[in-house]
Amino acid sequence: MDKPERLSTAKILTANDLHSGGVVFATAHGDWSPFISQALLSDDAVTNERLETCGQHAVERQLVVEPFFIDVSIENGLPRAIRFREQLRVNGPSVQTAFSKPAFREVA
Amino acid sequence: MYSYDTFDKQLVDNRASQFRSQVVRRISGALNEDEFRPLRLMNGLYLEMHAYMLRIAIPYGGLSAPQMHMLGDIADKYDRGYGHFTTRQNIQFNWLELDRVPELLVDLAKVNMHAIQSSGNCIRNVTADPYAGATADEIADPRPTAELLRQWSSLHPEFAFLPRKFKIAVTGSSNDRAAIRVHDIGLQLVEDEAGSPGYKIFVGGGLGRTPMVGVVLCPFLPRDQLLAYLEATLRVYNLYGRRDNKYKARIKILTHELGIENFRNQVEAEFQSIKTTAPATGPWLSKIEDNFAVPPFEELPAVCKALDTLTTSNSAFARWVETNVCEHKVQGYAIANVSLKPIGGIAGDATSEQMHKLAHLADRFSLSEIRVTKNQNLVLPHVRQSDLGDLWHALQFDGLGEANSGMISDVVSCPGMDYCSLATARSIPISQQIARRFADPELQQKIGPVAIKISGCINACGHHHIGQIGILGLEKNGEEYYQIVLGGDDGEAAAIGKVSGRGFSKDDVVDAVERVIDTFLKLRTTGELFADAYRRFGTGPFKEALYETD
Repeated sequence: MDKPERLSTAKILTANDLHSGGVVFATAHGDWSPFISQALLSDDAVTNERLETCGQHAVERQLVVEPFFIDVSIENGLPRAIRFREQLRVNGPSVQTAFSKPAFREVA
Repeated sequence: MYSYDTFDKQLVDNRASQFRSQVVRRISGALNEDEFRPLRLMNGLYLEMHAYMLRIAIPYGGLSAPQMHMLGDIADKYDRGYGHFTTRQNIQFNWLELDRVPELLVDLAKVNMHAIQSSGNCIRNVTADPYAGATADEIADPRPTAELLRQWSSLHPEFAFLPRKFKIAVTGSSNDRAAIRVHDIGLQLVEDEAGSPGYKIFVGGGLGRTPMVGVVLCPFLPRDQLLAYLEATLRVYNLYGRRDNKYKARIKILTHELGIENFRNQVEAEFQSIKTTAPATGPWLSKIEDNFAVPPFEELPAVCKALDTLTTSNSAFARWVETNVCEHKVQGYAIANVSLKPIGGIAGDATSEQMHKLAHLADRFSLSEIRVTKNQNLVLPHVRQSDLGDLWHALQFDGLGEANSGMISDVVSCPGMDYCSLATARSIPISQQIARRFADPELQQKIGPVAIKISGCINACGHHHIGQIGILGLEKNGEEYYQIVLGGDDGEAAAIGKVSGRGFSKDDVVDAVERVIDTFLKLRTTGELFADAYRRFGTGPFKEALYETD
């Protein structure tokens, strides 16, 4: 069996939650998480296609709005958005640190 | 303040209920995003980077104390405890959930407020001089005209789908504090030689990617013909404005391409054909004027000893009076500017506590009135001079007493890439760094008034083109960089600033601004303002200072 075609840059699928408008990421379980640490990393065409299908289903089920891929690198085992705009989208506004978003779910 | 009637109340209630049904259909899947987007935008609801954002119109920038209290309640109940006042006299809430917006609109309607036409290709919130009805330098109060235009343009079926958005500003003064010459239409209340009231009409001003200063469409239009003339103007635009290219769709492009003479002739022809059938301005405007309650001003002495004493004994208060207080038309009163630019803060942001505090202060000191300015500050328009000391103390306590109105730390800034999906760079951190760099009150006083305005993209919501020092944030190879434009003016001598040259990195741009200011301080004559020095010297020495290391 042929190996899946490798992508030059790893990607994750992101969107805005329909209800909260918040930034969410497609996970390996086919659902959506506000934590980038739970995003399914795609570095091949097959995973990309799987994520695309996941995004399409989520749009049809009124879960998310306008899913799209972003390029990421891996730093300390976590995906990190490459473009600055996406870093802001992932982390929250740089000027209101109270509204910054953690990469992981915080333990209460 | 204008007293809304039952028709207005019904209109905003109906719209809130309509939007509730639209949201229910979106959530159920009966409407997809493509179908829902234009509906939410008609109600001022955007989906931005981190959440839904609602832009609420504040017609001609006027707020009553109960309205400000409601905005404070909304900030707590639906958002994260604050709101952002914009350069178009609106307020934006940045962290809303779709499901709760209908309920928010119902609350807003309780104080006759709404978000209708705060987005989309329609006539947007009509703006006006924030000192209207208070300043000694106006020939008439522009707010009845602005209210007339609000009523006329609200849900106007013919102008709901214009080629592009359409912005109107009104002033009653020859000192333009409403930036009328950079609006699609700017109206200046004037009188003819016989003293009859009318309007001087400017057309084709605007910022964005093709900034232009408006030109005179009509030097004097009798007051009673306003609606017919504007309807004719909008019709010509609606007919010939370009719909094939959104970047060429504003009326400024049409007037530029047709030439003002040709455009004026077409408006005139349309005006002649509709002037007897168009809505009559006179009776409508008179009724509105009747609904503007005259504030219950007291008879006060011409000289306020308490003010004189405190000004002499307290230098911080004296500085605030010098920068933030203006002359009122009624003896014994003053106009107080309230800065929403604490050093290092976010331009235009106010917390819910500050909103409630301002509402209380308006009740106590300003006949319950508040105004929002295009510079993202607030105004208490009717303060007894004898109350200025108490007001100042109260403002200090809540972080609202910065003595920087019009000064270098009073930086106008759009939300930029921290919040806005369209932005190409951040604006807020740059404005914060500039304010911190020039925070010293003595230094600010030495520099004098300077208007710095920052936009995070070419759409120019931060009005960078008309800043005396304008900064435009862009992106190049994934990095933020900033162009500096010099010599803009948003007043009666409106001018579009000139790009100084290559851009600066985010780490270098504040140093660059400082070099411009240092150059000004070296060149100026005693007491000369930055704007005057720039006119005298032109770009040359400033450009040289900016690129001295090249």
